[in-house]
Amino acid sequence: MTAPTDLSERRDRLRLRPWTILGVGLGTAALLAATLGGVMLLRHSAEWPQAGQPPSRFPAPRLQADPAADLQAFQAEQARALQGYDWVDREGGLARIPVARAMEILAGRGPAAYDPLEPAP
Amino acid sequence: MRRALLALLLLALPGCKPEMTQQKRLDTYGNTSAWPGGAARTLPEGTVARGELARQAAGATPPPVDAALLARGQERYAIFCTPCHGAAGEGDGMIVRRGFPAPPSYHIARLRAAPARHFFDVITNGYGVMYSYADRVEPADRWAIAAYIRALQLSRHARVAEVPGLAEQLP
Repeated sequence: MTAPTDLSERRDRLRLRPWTILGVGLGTAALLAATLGGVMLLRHSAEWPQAGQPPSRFPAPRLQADPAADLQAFQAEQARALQGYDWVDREGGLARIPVARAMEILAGRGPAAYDPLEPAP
Repeated sequence: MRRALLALLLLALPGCKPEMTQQKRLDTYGNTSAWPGGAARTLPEGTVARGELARQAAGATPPPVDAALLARGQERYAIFCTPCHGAAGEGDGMIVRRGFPAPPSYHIARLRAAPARHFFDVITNGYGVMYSYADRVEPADRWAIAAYIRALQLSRHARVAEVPGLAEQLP
């Protein structure tokens, strides 16, 4: 059995300075108080988001959820533009006709089919 | 010992015949004294591709307009022109909707008064941001497209007095 080691001989004596501890504590408390005071000041001076305020609307994402359907709608719209009869200028006697009818008319014009529709300005 | 010698010989093998990779040759854009300019030779001025003159001659005179030519023009127009010019020639094709600069509508007075040769030349040489379609559209097809563009213009600008039976079909 070994003799118990006398630790007290190797241990440094702890020298606490109460004023230092108190100073650090008070300093921390002062910093905390200053920070809270700053936040309060900022809250009063600046615009602060209020709790319960409705969120602002943002624009919808520009996504194409169904490209195939969009293309079909686009092609249908483009095809509609080639159909049907309508007035363009009733006084001037100008009308819109289906492109198939226009092709028939042009085919019947012979060599004059290439001619401009209006005289050159 | 013999194995070590063999390994050394194998290691020395890649060092043999370095001229296989370092030969005397002309790099594509290298310099040469054989002719002026770089190793990549430019075509002599006035060089014409084989058959190009015949192609150009084919477009010199417009073919007669009939239903078959217009149908061909409609088909070619749908393939090559609608992406930008739109099916009705308003300049509102899908490419334009995606942000490409819009071409002018065919239904403006300037293009109604333009000769058919203008459309042929634009297809051949390009115009503005439109590039040349000479490699994609044959000369006869360019005339067919030009004729179909006339049909598109007529479909938006038909004179009621000149089209028999049109007045009855209008609202």
